[in-house]
Amino acid sequence: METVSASAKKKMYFYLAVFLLLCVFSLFAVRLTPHDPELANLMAAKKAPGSEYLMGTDWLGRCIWSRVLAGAKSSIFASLVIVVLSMLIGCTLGVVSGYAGGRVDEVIMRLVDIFMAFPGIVLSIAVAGMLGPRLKNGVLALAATSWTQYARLIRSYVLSIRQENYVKAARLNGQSPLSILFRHVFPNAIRPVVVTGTLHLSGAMLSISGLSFLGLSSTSAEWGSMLSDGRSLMQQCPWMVLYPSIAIFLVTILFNLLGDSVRDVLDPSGKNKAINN
Amino acid sequence: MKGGIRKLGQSTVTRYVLRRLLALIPVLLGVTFITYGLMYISPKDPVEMMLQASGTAPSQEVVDAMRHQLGLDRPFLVQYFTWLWNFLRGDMGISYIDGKSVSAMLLTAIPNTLKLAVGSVVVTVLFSVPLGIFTAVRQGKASDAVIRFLSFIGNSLPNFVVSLLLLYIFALKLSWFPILSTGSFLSFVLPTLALAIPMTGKYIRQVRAAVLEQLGKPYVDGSVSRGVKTRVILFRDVMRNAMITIVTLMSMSVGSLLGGTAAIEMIFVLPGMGYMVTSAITARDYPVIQGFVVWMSVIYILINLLTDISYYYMDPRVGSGLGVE
Repeated sequence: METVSASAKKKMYFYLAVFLLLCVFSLFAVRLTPHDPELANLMAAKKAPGSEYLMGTDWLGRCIWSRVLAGAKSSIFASLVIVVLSMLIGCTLGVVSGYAGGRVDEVIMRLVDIFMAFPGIVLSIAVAGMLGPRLKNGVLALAATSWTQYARLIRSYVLSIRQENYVKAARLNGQSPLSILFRHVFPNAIRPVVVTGTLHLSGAMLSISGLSFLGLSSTSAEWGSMLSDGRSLMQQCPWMVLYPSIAIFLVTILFNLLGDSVRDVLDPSGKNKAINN
Repeated sequence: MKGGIRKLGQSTVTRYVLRRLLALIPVLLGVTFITYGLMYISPKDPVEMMLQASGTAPSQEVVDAMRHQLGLDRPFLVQYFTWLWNFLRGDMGISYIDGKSVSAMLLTAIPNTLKLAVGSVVVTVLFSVPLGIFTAVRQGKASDAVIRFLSFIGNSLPNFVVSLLLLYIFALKLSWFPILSTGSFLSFVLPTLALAIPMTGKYIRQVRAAVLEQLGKPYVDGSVSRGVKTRVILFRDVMRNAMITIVTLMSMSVGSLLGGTAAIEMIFVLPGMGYMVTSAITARDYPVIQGFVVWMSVIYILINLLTDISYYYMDPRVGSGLGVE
C-alpha cells in the first residue's frame, strides 16, 4: 500500500472546495449579471471593454460579462451533469454485467462494444444534430457516448471482487445480491470510478463547449456558442472571443488540476489513464 | 514455450485477423442500427424538411406521396434493411438539400479531413515523443518543469480556442497565412497546428509517464551497470518498449480526430467531413449525417484493428494474451 502525503490530500481538498464553490456559483451566476445577457441593445453594439461594459459588448450590444456569467451554468454545471449521468448509466450496467455474468454480461458488453465503435464526438454530433440544438440534448448526447468507460471499469472491478472469499462467505451466509453489492462491491469499486469521473470533467467541459461551438447544443449564452458568434468579428471586436476563451481555459485548468490531485490521492499507482474524449 | 511466440507463423495471424473481422459484424450491425434508428426517433419529419428546402408548401397529399416514394411509410425494420443493403452496395442515398449523391459528397470531403488528421498526428508525434523522453530523462530538473507546465497549458486549451488564437495572430495581425482555406499547403498549416498543440500537450505527459515507467525497470539498471551508453539504452530498449504506448496514443488521437476536426474545419472553412456534417445538421440532411457517422465508425474500427495487429508484431506477449493460442 503506497502512502499518500498529507500535502497531496490538502491539495485535493483545496481543489475540491474550489470546484464545489464554482458549481454553486455557476447556478447563481445568472442573478449576478449587471445587464440582461440576452437583451439586444443596438445603441451599445460592439463597445470595447470599459467601465459600463466590463468586457465590452457583442454585435447586438449584449454585455459580454453578463453573458460569460450566464454561460457558466451551461458550461460548468452541464459538465458535472454529463459526468454524473454517464457514471450512473455506466456503473449500473457495469455492475449488472459483472455480477450477473452469463448471457446478460454478453449482451451488455456487446452494447458497450457498439457504442465504443463510434469515434470521439461523432455519435454526439449525430445525436445532438437529430434531437435539435438544446443544451439538454447536448448533455444527453455526450452522456450517451461516455458511459461505456465506466461500465467497463466497474465491471472489471466487480469481476475481481466477486472472487474474494468475503464475498463468497457473504453469499453462503444468505445475503441478498443487492446487499452484497452495496456492502462489499461498491465500497471497493468506488475509488477508480471517482478518479475516472474527475478526470472526465475537463473532457466533458471541452466537449460540451465544442458542441455549442458547432451550434449543436445551447443556443443561448454559452461559452462555446459565444466564441462561435465572435469568430467572424474577431478583427473588429477581439474581446468577443477573448473573454469566453479565458473562461473556458481557466475552468478547464481547474478541472485538470482537480482530476490530477484526486488521482494522486485515490489512485497513487496511476492505473487510471486520462480519458480521450 | 521455448524459442518465442513470434515464430507462430502467418496462418495464426491470419486466423486472428479473420476472427476479429467476424466479431466486427455484430458491432457494425449495431452501429448502423443506432445510426438509422436516430433518424427514426428524431422529432422532425424528413419529408417536410425536404419539401421546405425545395420551397414547396407541404400539403398532406404531397407529403404522403413523397413518403411512399421514399419508402418511409414501410415498417421500420424493412426500411432499415433496405437502407443497409443499399449502403453495402455503396449507395448512401441522396442529400435532401441538393439531391447530390451522398457517396460522392463523402468522397470529396474525406481527403481534406484525412490530410488534417494525419498531418496533426504526425506533428504531434514529432514533438511529443522527443519532448516526452527528454522530460522523463530530466525528471525533476527545471527544463522538465517548464515543459510539463507548457504541456499542462496546452492540454487545457480546446482546439477551437487555439485555432482562433492562431488565426488572430498569424492570419489577421501578421498575415503570414491565408484566413480561409484555399486548398494550398500554407492554408493547412494553421488548422494542423491548432489540432496538434492540445494533443501534443496531452501526449507529452503520457509519453513521459511511459518512459519513466520503463526507466524504473531492472533491465535499465542492468544495462547502466554494464556500462551501456545512456543514448543506446534510451533509443534501443526504452523506446522500443514505450512504442506500444505511443502507437496506442496515435490510434486514440486519430479516433478523436474523426469528427473532432469539425470545429477547425468550420473556422478555416475547410470543406472536410466535419464541415459537411455541420452544415448537414443545420439542414437536417439525414442521409448525409448517416453516411458520415457510419463511415467515421468504419474508419475508426479499422484503425483499432490495425493497432491491435501492430501490437502483435511489436510485442509477441500481446498476441498470446489476446488468445491467438
